Amino acid sequence: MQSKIEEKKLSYELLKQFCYVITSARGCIDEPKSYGVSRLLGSVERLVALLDNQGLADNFLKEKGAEIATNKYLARQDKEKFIEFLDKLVIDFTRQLKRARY
Amino acid sequence: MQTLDVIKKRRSVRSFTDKAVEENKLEKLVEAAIWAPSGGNRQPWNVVIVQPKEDIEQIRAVSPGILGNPGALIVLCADRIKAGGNEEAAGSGIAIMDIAIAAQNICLEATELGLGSCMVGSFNPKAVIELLDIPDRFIPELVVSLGYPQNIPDAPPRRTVKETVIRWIKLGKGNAKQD
Repeated sequence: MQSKIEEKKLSYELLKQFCYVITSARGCIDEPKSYGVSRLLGSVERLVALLDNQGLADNFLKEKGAEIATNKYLARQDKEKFIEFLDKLVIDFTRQLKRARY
Repeated sequence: MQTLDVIKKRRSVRSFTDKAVEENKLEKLVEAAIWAPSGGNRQPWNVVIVQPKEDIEQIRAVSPGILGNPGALIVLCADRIKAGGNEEAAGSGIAIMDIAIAAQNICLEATELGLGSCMVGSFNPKAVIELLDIPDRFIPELVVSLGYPQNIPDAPPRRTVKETVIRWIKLGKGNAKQD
């Protein structure tokens, strides 16, 4: 069972994630449409980092978090490759979802 | 470095090492900012400098455009009073242009000092005001993230001078129709 301090720390880290998502949602109203895609991926990346820091990220999540960190800039550099990366990411996560069902 | 070399060397750096940015370098960056031109010499800028890691983390939480783990942030704010005495003036195109020029000066000086920098416009100004306790007269307009570069990205392609100039009315030709 987590100690009160650990719970408080986790709650604080989660608050930062919520701030990121809510701020991104607000930004999506006035910012370029393509930013929204980056923010959604950024949310996943940040959430994986949070789970990893808590010792809760499995190898799949660690690997995918690293892939997102490497490939997120493709959005600016090569749109076709970026779409290819996103399509593969969708399938990878979907397959993991099937495997993880309990 | 020659000016054009510094301009060409500057990249938007979004990946930094853990090395802290020295205070004397941050002072030089602010000095570079204050020598920017401004409309009517109003100098409508003021800055907030953030160095502690957790404070930067909090700003990152409300600034989706800040990527990587910068060692310092400079938040450039428009001063409503210096910009012309009211909120509309602070948010006017001229004050924002002045601040953008000051930010570019910061980024160029950072390049000269071996620092990486990135101008960030994607942040929530109200949230930044709240986190940094910024007085009412100042409005955050731009954030510059700074640090020692982990990776320096390649220069993206640029258009040529010829592709950029719409029309060039050359000496001796006047504005008469040219063949």
